[in-house]
Order: sequence, then C-alpha cells, then structure tokens
Amino acid sequence: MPRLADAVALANHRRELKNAARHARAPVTVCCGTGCRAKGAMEVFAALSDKVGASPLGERHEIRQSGCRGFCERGPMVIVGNEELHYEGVTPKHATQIVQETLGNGTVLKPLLYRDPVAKQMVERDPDIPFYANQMRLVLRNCGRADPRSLDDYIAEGSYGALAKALTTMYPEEIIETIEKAGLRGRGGAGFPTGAKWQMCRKAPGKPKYIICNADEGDPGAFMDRSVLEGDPHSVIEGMVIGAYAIGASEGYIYVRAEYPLAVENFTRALEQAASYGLLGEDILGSGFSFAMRVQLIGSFRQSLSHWLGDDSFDFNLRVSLGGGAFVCGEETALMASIEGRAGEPRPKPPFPAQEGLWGLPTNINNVETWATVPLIIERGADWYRGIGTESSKGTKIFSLVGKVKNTGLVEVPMGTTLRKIIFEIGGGTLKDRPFKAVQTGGPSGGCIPAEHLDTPVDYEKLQALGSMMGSGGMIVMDERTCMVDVARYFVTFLEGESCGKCLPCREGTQRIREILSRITQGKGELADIEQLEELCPVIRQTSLCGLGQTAPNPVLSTLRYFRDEYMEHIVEKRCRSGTCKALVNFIVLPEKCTGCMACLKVCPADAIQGALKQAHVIDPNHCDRCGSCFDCCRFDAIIVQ
Amino acid sequence: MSAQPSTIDLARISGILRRYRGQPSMLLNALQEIQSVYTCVPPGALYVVARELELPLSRVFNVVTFYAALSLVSRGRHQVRICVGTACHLRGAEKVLAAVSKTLGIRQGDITPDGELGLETVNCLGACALAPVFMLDSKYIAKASPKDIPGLFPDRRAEAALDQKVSQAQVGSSHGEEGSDAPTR
Repeated sequence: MPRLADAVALANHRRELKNAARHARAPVTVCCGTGCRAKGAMEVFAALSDKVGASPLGERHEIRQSGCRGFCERGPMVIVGNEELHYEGVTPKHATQIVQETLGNGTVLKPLLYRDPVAKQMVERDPDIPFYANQMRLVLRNCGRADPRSLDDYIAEGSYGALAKALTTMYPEEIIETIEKAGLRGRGGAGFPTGAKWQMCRKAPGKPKYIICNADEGDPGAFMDRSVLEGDPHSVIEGMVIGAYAIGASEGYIYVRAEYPLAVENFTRALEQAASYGLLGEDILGSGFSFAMRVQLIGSFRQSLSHWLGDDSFDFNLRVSLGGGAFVCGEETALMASIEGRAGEPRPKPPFPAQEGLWGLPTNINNVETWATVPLIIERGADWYRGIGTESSKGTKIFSLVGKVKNTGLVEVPMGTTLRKIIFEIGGGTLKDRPFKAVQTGGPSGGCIPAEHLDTPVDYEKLQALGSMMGSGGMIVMDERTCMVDVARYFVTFLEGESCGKCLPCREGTQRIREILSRITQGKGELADIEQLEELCPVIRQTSLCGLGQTAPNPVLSTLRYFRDEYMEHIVEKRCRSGTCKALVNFIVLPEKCTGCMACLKVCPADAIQGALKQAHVIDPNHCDRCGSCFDCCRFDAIIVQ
Repeated sequence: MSAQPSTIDLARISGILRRYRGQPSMLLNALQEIQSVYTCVPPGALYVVARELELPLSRVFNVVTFYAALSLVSRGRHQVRICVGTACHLRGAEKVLAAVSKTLGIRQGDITPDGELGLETVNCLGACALAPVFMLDSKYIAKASPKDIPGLFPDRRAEAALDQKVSQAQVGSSHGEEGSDAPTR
C-alpha cells in the first residue's frame, strides 16, 4: 500500500474498501484475544480455516480473526455470519459441525449458544446477549470486530477519519477547546480534565514537546488497556496523533507492560502499518505535521523481548526501549523517570509534567482509554459526547468486571449507570448465586462498597463519596465467602511490596498496617489494633508524596467503615465467617443436611473426611488443613463454618 | 543460589554494550538485554555497564534492584509465573502457588537445582476471566486447579508441560457451566 497523500486519498481508499465489503464473503470471526487464545482460539481458527478452505463454502464464507471481545469468560468465541450467531466454548472438534451444519445447512448449534443465567434461556445472536445489549460500546466499538492485523479493516470502520478532520479543518486550539467542552476526564484514575491538561502543555515554553500513552496497567484485576491495545490499537494511535497536533508535540512514547505480549505485538504492528500509510511519521496526510512514536516495554517477558530486540525494520524512529515493571511507574513522574532509564520513583509536583516532564521538557501523559476516546469526540463533536453521562462525568467508562461474578469481562457503560445494573444485569450476578457482599473499585488503593449502595450511579464523585474511587475501572465482585479483613490485608500487602520506599510514611506505614491485619487474620488481634489502624491511616494519607501512599489506607478505611462487624468477629469471637482465615475456621458437616454424596471426600486433599455413600460424612479436625475445598464443593450447604 | 554458575563468562556483555556506549538513558535496555542472555544480571557485569554507559555504579545498582524485571541471581531457563492479582486471589491463587511450589520442590523466587525452572509471582496478567491463572513461559494455564498441577509437571520439567498443546482450560471447564468457581479458595 502506498502512502496516503492527503485526506482525500484516505476518503477514497475508505470508499473503495466499503464498496469491496459489499461483495465480500460472510465473515466467521474467531476472537483471538489473550483470554480466548489461552483457551485454544488459535487451534479453533486453524481448524475452521482448514475445513472451510477444503469445501466449496470457502467462496461464501471467510474465516477471520478479531481482537479481544471482552467476554473472556466464555471463550473461545466464534461469531458466525452476517446474522452474528454467537457460539462460545468452541473447540477444534466443533469446526466440522459449524462448517457442515451452520454454514452448510443454516442449522443453529444449540449446545454452543449462550445461556442467559438471569432469564434462563438460550440467546442466538451476539448483540442480543444481555452482556452486550446492556452496554454502550463506544471506545470498544472496533474491539472484537476488526482484525488487529489489518489497517484496512479499521479504515473501513471509519478509523483515522477524525485525524483527517483535525489536520485539515481544525486549528490546534480548536481541538483543545472541543476536548474541554466535551468534558473528557482522564480515565487512568484521578479524573483530571484532559482538555485543561493539554492546554497547560501547549502553553508551556520549551521544545520539543512529548506525549506519552500510559499503558502500565498495574492495577490487578483491570485489563481494559490490554483489550483496547489488542483489539483497537489504531484508535490509540489516532488519538495520540490528534493530541500531538493539538499540543504541538513531535514525539510520542507508549509505556506498556510486557506482561501483555499480544498487546505489544498488535500495537507495534499497527504502528508500522500506520507509518507505511503515512498516518504517522513525516508529513502526515500531506498536512506538513510530523510525529514519531516509540514503544517502551516494561516487565520481564524474555520471549517477547528477544522478538522485539532483534527487529530493526522500523524506519520511523520507532525504537523499542525497555523498562522494568513496577506498580508505582503508573504515576506519571515515576513513569517518566523510568523512560529516562532511572528507578521509577515519583517526585514532588509542581513542576507538573506539562511544564517540566520527560528530559525536563513539556510532556503530556494520558491513559490508553483516554487517548482512544479522543477520535470519537473529534469525529462526533463535543455536544454529542456531553449528552452521555452525568453532570460531572461525561461519556462512557470501561469497567473490568471480575472476581465472584458470572460474566467476567469488559463492560463499557455510560457514566451514571448503577452498580446493580453492571453487576447483576450485565454481569449476570454472583457465581453460584451466593449472596453478594461487596464490590471493590479503583484498584488496590480503592475501596469496598457494600450491598446497600448498589443503586449508586457510578461516576468520579459518587465513588469518592463512598470512600472508594474510579481508578482505572477495576470492579471486583465479592460474595459471602470473601473475608473483608483478608481482602484489606491482600491489598495492603500488594501496596507494601510496590511502595517505592522514598517516603517513610508509605514505606513503613503500609508495613505496620499489613502486620496488624495479618495478626487479626491469624486470630491474634486485639481491640487496640482497630484504634491503631484508625490513627495510622490518616497519617499515611496526609504525609505521602504520591498517589500510591495517599490512597494506600483506602482498602482498610473502607472495610472498617462498612464491615467493622467482621473485624470485631475476628478479634473478639476469633471467628472468620467466610471460611477464609485458616486459623479461625473449623468446618463441620451438618448430618441432617448431608446426603452422603461423597463429593467432599473426593476433593479433600488431606483425606480428613470419613463416611460412606448415603451416610452423613464427618470431618476430622485434626487432619483437616482448612483449605475449604469441601466447603466450596458441597451442593447441599451441609458444610458450615463453626 | 545453587544453580548460579560460579564463574560467568562475561564475553558477550561487551558485544551487547557496544550499542549503548555513552548513552546513560539506555541503562534499562542494556540491563534487560544482558538479563535475557544470562537469565540474570551477573553482579560482575554492573561495573562494565557503569563504565560503558558513563554512569555511577550506584545508579546501575539502584536500577537493577528497583525493577522486578531485573535480578542479580538467575531466574531459571523457563519461568512459571503465578498470577496473584485480585481476581486470582479471590479464586484461589494462593492454593495454586502452594501446589506448584510443592510439585517443583522450590519456593517462590527460587529456581530448581538444575536451573531449568524458576517460580515467580506476578501482580496481574490481565486475564482475569481465566482466574486462577498462571503462565509457563508464554503459555497460559487457565482455571488452574491444585489437583491437576502435579500432572502438569511430570519429572518437574518444563518441556513436558509446554508440549501439551491445548491448555488446561479446555480440560478443566466443560462448556455450559456457569463460570466454574475455583475448586478451592
């Protein structure tokens, strides 16, 4: 493909692609995101290609790949034909059936359909599945549709239209005004207005200016950045080029975790293709504007590193540089230190990165989702975007719904959607329909929100009022078998390990909190421990330099606020009702409920359960190692925590 | 670390460093590349790196010890990386870690005596729907159950586990289940 000389050439190319698509074969799309691949999607793709290629059906059907569809729980997924039949849990063995029966005879394969856990019925078409039907997929619009290996796919879907519009019809100031007016706020956590940030960087003296895409998705339990980079890398590139033009930046970096090898692969390929089309690099679309990109990899995947290290084929100043993998590097000043080859320790602000950033020059950092939203706003206008969301938070937000929920996956909804709708309508409710206990939002330094606040509309301010935060959009569902003290201990242990150690309150404070919480979960807690936690937490919050330390006490404070009774139970009664804290748990069998099915006998790794078929079983507390396997597997609620 | 060779041939280091000479900002790249060759950054290499990149030795040591991706001791030729992210934690990551640790006979952060396999934890692999999940080199093992793990590492060797074509997820979760809960917590 030759370079696209200008915006007209791009529009012509798009028209040609759309015309060709009208005569195209019906697509059979295999989701090839990380989740589906891990479950064997590539084997499914190969088997389908094989079967279709060998039959006359190949003239009517095309087997395609797509990026992550966000419904990873159900993979590998195959979307069949223009009617978009949704098949899930597909294995290579199903390929013959799909080709012969569905493609050949038009028969729907019922066993491969999605069964809605709420309505208890089969759903045939992909868009009708409540998980998708209740979403508003704007940023994720191309994810799971276009083939990440083909730039033409994205151009046919409309990609780079916003870039052409920005470069040919808008002044840089006009772009910033549009973003400001749209009310876009940073999707990485703090929710700072994006337009104001750009303005500050544009006005700052100093050249060259840099822009950075923060793809150091360090929050455990959040994977929207991975999915966007895998499934729609071109939206991120397009957003960055528009941002660079508006700010007056000439060079861009993306700082991405190497834990995401497929995202790195898809994104780097997309950069190469965009550059070959003249959508990146020198004189973009004949506008005279030039912009170069670099990928910064962090983490320790040697396989992916050796692949990129050996590749010198990039001719547009794309050099792969590597970082090291640390949660604190998500903080913007720490991230820049890491790009400069130093340890990723945050520094005080001001000066803000917009004034003195990378190499001491004005720098603008935004998160993946923020960059991917920019083309939408430019294309459809600020007023359209303002129409979605709440008073203070505009647009949509992607949440990663994980934990004890039926439909684990990525969910994009307008700001202001209630937690209940997200978890119970889209997410399908809790696993095994066990009672819901809490939802944790905002990553490790967010907070836990209990059932009584499920009807809260989600936006930046509402979550903060509940003692949690938006963060990058992790949403972790917990049921009655999750211990809230253990959860607080888990998050604080994580933050203790990831504290860079620069400030004493964060370095030592998280350690003290972890010690206290560990004591409580081991049954050695005292009432004074709670007082000490309540004294320690505000000190850490007020005296730490960066966001990591300032928010580190959140998991403790929010669980103390809503689940104080569980702390008291651990300390006073020496009991953990969820069956999690080994030292405080004794499992017993209720003889009147036990049917003698022997299921628990089979899963017990310690052989601590005795009994015969159709006779009530007994757990020997001396041999039991309190793993809870029996508690989990019993279908008759005959095993309880004493 | 028993598997650490007592003497390390540093010959390849000068070759790697030629590309980074006099460029202090390329420190992380240089260290990562050295690590990819030696499975660690040999302590003896720090002096050479400092000299070639024109940096104080303390800076090099600071960076090597700061990032989780870099290590002064060998990580093993193959790596088992257990995800201990929040979703995995809730669905039983600790049990998986314990089972792998027991099967391989090594603790987290250690390598097997033959230097073949290293056992590490990772904060999140971004594959939460597969929880609890772990990786063997670049292969994902999804919805891992402690019971299946001894069978995954016959003779405690990585190759055997890498050879099994379709991951455990295929075997572990049959189609149509309502998202199987972890076998343990």
